[in-house]
Amino acid sequence: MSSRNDLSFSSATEWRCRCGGNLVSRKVAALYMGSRFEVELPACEKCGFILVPEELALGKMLEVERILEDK
Amino acid sequence: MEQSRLKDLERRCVQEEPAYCQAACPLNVNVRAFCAALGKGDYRGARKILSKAVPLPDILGRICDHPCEEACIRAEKGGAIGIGRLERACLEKSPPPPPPLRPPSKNGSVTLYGGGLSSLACAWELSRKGYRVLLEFTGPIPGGRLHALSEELLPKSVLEESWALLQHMGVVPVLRTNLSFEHPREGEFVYLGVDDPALRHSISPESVDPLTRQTSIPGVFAGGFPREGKASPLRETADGKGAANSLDRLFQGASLSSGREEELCRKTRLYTPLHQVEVLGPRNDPQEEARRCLQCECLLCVRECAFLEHYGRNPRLYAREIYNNFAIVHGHHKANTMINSCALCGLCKTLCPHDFSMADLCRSAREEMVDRGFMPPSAHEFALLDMEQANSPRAAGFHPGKAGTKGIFFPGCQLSGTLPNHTEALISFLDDAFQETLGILLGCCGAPAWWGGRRKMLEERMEGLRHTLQSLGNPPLILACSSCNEVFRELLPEASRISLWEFLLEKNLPRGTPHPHPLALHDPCTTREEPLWREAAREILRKIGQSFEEPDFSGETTRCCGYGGLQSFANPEIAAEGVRRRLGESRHSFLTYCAMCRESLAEPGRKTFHLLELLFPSEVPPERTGFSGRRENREDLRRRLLGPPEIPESPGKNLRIFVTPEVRDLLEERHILDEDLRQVLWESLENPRGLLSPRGTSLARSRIGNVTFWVEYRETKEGFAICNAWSHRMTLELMS
Repeated sequence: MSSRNDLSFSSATEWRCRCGGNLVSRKVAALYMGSRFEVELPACEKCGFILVPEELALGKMLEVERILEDK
Repeated sequence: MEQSRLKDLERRCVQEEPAYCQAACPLNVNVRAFCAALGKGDYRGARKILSKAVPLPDILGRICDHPCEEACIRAEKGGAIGIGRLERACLEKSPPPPPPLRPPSKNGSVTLYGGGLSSLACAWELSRKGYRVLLEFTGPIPGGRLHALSEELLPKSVLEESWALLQHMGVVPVLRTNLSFEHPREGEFVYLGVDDPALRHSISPESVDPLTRQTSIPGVFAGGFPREGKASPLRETADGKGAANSLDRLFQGASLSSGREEELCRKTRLYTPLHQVEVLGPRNDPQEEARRCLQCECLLCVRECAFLEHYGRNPRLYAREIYNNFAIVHGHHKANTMINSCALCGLCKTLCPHDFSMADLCRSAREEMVDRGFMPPSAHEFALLDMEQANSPRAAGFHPGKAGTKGIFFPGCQLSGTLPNHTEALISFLDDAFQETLGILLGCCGAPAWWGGRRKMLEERMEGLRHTLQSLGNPPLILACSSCNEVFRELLPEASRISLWEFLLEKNLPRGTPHPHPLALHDPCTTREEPLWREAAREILRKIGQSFEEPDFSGETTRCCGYGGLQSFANPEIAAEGVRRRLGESRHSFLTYCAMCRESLAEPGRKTFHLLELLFPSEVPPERTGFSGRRENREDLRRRLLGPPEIPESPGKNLRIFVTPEVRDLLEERHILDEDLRQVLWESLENPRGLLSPRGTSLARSRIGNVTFWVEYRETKEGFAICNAWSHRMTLELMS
């Protein structure tokens, strides 16, 4: 669960931040049900706005949420 | 869950009880498995099953008196399975396995008198356990009465091979010209096989314990007596095997009788329904005959329930699994999803001959999960928030009758949400009947809390309702929804209740307009224990001239639409399978008298009608309203009937959003509400953070409660066109 790559998402994204910054891969802490683990997600290089893409939210992230809920 | 409760539940489920044939067999042969193997042409496998229970199967398998056939319930559907002839076919068509290795010798020696079948069986059982066996008999080879059987029935070679096998196992022959039994000395042990004609009168059957086969003479065991005046090869074999078991226990210093009670009178509580079994007469071919075996089992509940079938087990195993789920301290509660997937509809209990209720089991398990803090938060949260909205001042409230309150109509939150205009028309109709003494109570009964195991939340709801009713002098509640009725029946029993349908029949029924085609009547699962509700709905249909048909599962065996027990929230796939099964029962459109059944059973091209649509046919409502639409309808209805709520509008309420049907389906599936979209958009207008795509769309997010919502939209002159939306529950923090 604590593996760094479990929820990381590195596919190229077409999104750009409203503040004008580019989205780059950044270290992010994901928290749920008292668990915390590091992942890499696209986030704005300037303002730090983190993107959770649809595919991640409905795929791996949902899966991990369910596992943590049953713990 | 208490262990005593688990034991009670396990006892109720009869799926693992032996088949009727097996229960009738004193050797406890697993005939069901034997037939299954033979039906597949696996003669060796079938022989293995026989050998497990039958000593020297090559002899008994050819001459067994098979009481199993009398017990076979296939008899009612074309004739009992010819188990005796299948055993013979199996033995003739499969080679005997190579003789087993002789086991290491044990302390213990027994002298067996007589060469009959019971002595041979006893010799086999003792020798394969490693005891020293002396077999005293007359003639060149043992067999007693077996020698008199025809070559066709029992070939001599079979007897010779069996005798060779016994000698290979170490059985020592003691040949006698005259066989006579002498009392053993102290410390000697003897078995008397009175099925050998030479020993027929050596001991009286009355002096033998029928279970242990121990006689009144110390150290002497006996068996092989005729039963009801006739020789029975099966009983003889069982006597020999039973005596060997006693001797083994004796040598090991164990109780001779403990745990053997069933050997005398094996019973089964199995229930195998036969109503769907086709008649099929006996077949000559052994494989085909074996395939006629019904493989008796119950599984009555499992076959008819998409949930029970989905997890592929029987209730007995589910109960054990749920019990184990509570025993976990560290690790995963693997049964959580299963527990939350039951529709709590009670069909299993109705079908079960011993009243096993998965509904009671799963509901109490959910309550325990909530109490112990491991109910997954996402399982029921959406439904509980829906309940909260339905009970909020925006959607709920009470309106007394103009001239007092002699009765209260409680439409329930889902009827108000799906058919608000029909509800309004109905209220106006009822008000006339009540001469302006009808009170209106809008809100949710608390069913989502009841189904979701939220006892405390439910009790608070009941307390609120109890208080309202008491302050009005406890007038009767007129209920349109049978789920509300179920909740009140169980948790507010002091409230006086009547179904809307009975009330209409009693007071005044609108003329209504029947649908031009026959409709399939779907009883809501919460009417399972309410025959008056079901009969009233039928009577109304007859009175307004609506032709209808009853699906296979109707009345007290009706199916759930998948909304019950919050099944569709915890496990939408199982709920969808349940709907498929229900709709598959008729080619007609369905008709029901529960708003959520109407909503859940609607499918493209075939709508499901609510009874109120026939009674108040002025307007054609949408086939399905959806979560957002229901919320909006409840609030609208509240404003129309009770006036505007005394709380400010939620922020963003007036933002105009546009949702295509495709996006609407996606939002519904993902449980994303219009008010969530508006909240995200409103926050993004207040604090314009977010992303932009080269396609000209914007992406905004907001944390609402325990969920982060993402909304992709396109801003237009008229408002916001929603392109996509998704959500997650995790929170994220930038680390660098």
